[in-house]
Amino acid sequence: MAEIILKNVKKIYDNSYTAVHDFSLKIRDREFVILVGPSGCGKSTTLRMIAGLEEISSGEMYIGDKLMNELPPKDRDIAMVFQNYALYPHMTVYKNMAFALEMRKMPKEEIHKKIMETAKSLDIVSLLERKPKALSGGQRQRVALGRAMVRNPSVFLLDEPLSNLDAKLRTQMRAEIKELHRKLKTTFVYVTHDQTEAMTMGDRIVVMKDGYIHQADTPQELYNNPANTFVAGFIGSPQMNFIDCKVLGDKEKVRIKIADTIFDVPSAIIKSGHIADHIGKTVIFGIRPENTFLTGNKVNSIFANIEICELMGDSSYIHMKIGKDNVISKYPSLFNGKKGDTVNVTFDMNKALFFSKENGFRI
Amino acid sequence: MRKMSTVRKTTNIFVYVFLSVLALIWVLPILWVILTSFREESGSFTPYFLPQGYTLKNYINLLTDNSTFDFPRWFMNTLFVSVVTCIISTFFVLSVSYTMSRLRFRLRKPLMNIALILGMFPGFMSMIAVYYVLKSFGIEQSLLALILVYSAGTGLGFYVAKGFFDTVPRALDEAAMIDGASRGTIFWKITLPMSKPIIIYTLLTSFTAPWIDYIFASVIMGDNYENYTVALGLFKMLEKEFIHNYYTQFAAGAVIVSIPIAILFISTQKFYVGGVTGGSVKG
Repeated sequence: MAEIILKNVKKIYDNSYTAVHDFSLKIRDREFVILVGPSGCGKSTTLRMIAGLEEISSGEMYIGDKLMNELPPKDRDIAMVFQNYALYPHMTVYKNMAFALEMRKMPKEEIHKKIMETAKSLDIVSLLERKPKALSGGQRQRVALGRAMVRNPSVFLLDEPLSNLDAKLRTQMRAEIKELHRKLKTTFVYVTHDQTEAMTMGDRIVVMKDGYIHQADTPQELYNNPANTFVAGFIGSPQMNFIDCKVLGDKEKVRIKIADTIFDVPSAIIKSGHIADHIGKTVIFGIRPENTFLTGNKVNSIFANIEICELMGDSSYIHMKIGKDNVISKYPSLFNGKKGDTVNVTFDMNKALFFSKENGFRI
Repeated sequence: MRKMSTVRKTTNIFVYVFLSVLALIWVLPILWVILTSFREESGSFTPYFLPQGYTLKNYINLLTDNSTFDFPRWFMNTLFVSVVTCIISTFFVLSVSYTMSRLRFRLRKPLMNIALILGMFPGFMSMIAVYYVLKSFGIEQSLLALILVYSAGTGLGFYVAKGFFDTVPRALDEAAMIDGASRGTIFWKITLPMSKPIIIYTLLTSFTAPWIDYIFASVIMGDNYENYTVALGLFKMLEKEFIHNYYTQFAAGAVIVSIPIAILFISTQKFYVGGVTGGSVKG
C-alpha cells in the first residue's frame, strides 16, 4: 500500500524564493503520475520533497498512512532514478545494484539472487561486471532502473530519466518503463518537461507552472478539457490556436465574430459552458490545429495569410496569420504553400473551447 | 595546406629549442649538486664544474660518522615527522574540504573567507607566538611540537580539494542517501574512492611541506641537535667552521633528502589521471 498524500506542501528556499506553493495531491496506490511543466515550475522540487532530498517548508506528506516530513530518504521506502543516472563510477554494475542492499545488511546470497533476478528482467546480465564508463547511455539508464528495482520500493520516483537519451531510444525506453510499471505494480511518480512523454505514459498528469498545480487529470481529459490557456497550450503538439473573438447573439443562440466572419456556437457547448454569460465581451477562442481546416468555401471562413509550411511527411503544419493572431492548421497530407498566399480557414466548432480574456480560465 | 604545415613546423622547432634551453637551465643546479656529492676534493668553492676525482666517501661518512653530525638520526626524525604530519593533515584537509563542499551551515561562507584571508599571511608571522604556546605546554624542542605545528593549520588549505569535491556530482550523494548510506558512508565509500587524484595530491603536499621546512624547525628546535631535522642539520654543515670539510657531505645529504620525494612523485604519478568519475553521470 503506497498511496502518497501531499497536503498544502510548500517549498520556500533560504533566499525566500518560493518554488512550490500549496501543493495538494493524492496519488493512489499503483498509479503512474506524471508531473509536467516548463523548467522552473517546481516539478523536480516536488519530487525531491517526496524523496526527502529537499526539506518540506510547510504542509504534510504521507506515504501509506505514515507522515514523512521528518523522515530521512532511506526510511521512506522509495527509489529514485536520476536524470543523469548517478551511477557510482568506481563500482561495477553488480556493485552498484548491491550497494543499497548491503546498506540494509542483507545476506550475500540473497543479494546475489535479487540482483540476478532484476538483471534478467532488464536484460543486463552481460553488463554486471562492467563499470558505468563502459556502458552506453541506454544501458546506463537500464542499470539505473535496475538499481532502483532491486530494493522493491513501494514508490518509484523518476526525475526526467529519458532526457539524456536520443530520440529513438527515448521512444523505446518510454514503452519499457510503462511496461515496468505494469509488471512491478507499484506507485510511479515521474517528472518530465516533455508533454509527449506525459501523454503517452501517465495514468494521470499534473500540469505545473510557477509552483502551482494548474490541472491534474487523465491525459485524455487534459487534452479535451483543459482548465486554462496554459494547460491548453502546453498539452498537444503543435499547440492549440488562440484567437480573440467577440461574443454575440442571445442566450439561445450564441455566435462569435472572428475578424469579420461570424460562426455559430453549437448548442451543446452553450449548454455545457458559460459562454452565454459573456455576450458582448471579447473572449479567447481555442481550437486545436487538427480542428482547423483550409477550405475552398468563401462563406463561413476567414482569410488567412500563410507564414510557413512545415512538411511532416504524412501531414503538414500550415502556420498562418489571422489578423495579429498566429494560427496553425494540421493538414492531413502534403501542402506546399508559399509565404504570403491567401487561404480560407474554417473550424470544427464542435471542438471549440473558450477562455476568459482576463485570467485565461475556461469559460 | 603546405604553407600551414611549414609555419607550424617552424613554430614547433622554435618552441622545442626554447624549452630545451629552459630545461637545461633547470637541470644544471641539480646536476651540479649530484656531481659535488661525489667530489673527492673538499672545499665549498671550486673554479671548475666537473670534479677532478670521484668518490663515495661523502655518502659513507655522512651515513656512518656520527661524531659531529648525526645525519641518519636527523633523517629518521624528519621521516617520522613528515609521515605522521602527512597522515594527520591529509585527514584534516580532506574532511574540511568535503565539509565545505557538501554541507550547508550558517558559518560556511564566513569561515571560508576567514580561511582565505588567513592564508594570505605567511605562516612564520606566528612563529614567536607558536614558540611560547609550545613552551607553556613544555613541549618545545620536541618532535611532537613539530608535528603539531605542521599539521594543526593544514585544514585551512582546503581550497584545492574543495574545488575537486565540488566537481563530484551531488546526484551521487543523493543516490547513496536514498540507498541508505549515512554521510560518513558516503564520504568513505562513494566520494573518496573517486577522489584518488586529490588524495594523492594532498598526501604529496602534506608530506613535502614538513620535509623541506626550515624556519619553524629552527625556531622550535633551537640547540637540541638530537631532534634536528635534515634541513636544520644540513644547514648546520654550512656554518663557517664546518663548511670547508663538510661541503661535499652537505651535497650528498641534499641528494639523499631528495630521494624519498622523488620516489613519492614517481610512484604516485599514475594516479594523476583525470579521475574516475567517467560514466557516473552523463557528460
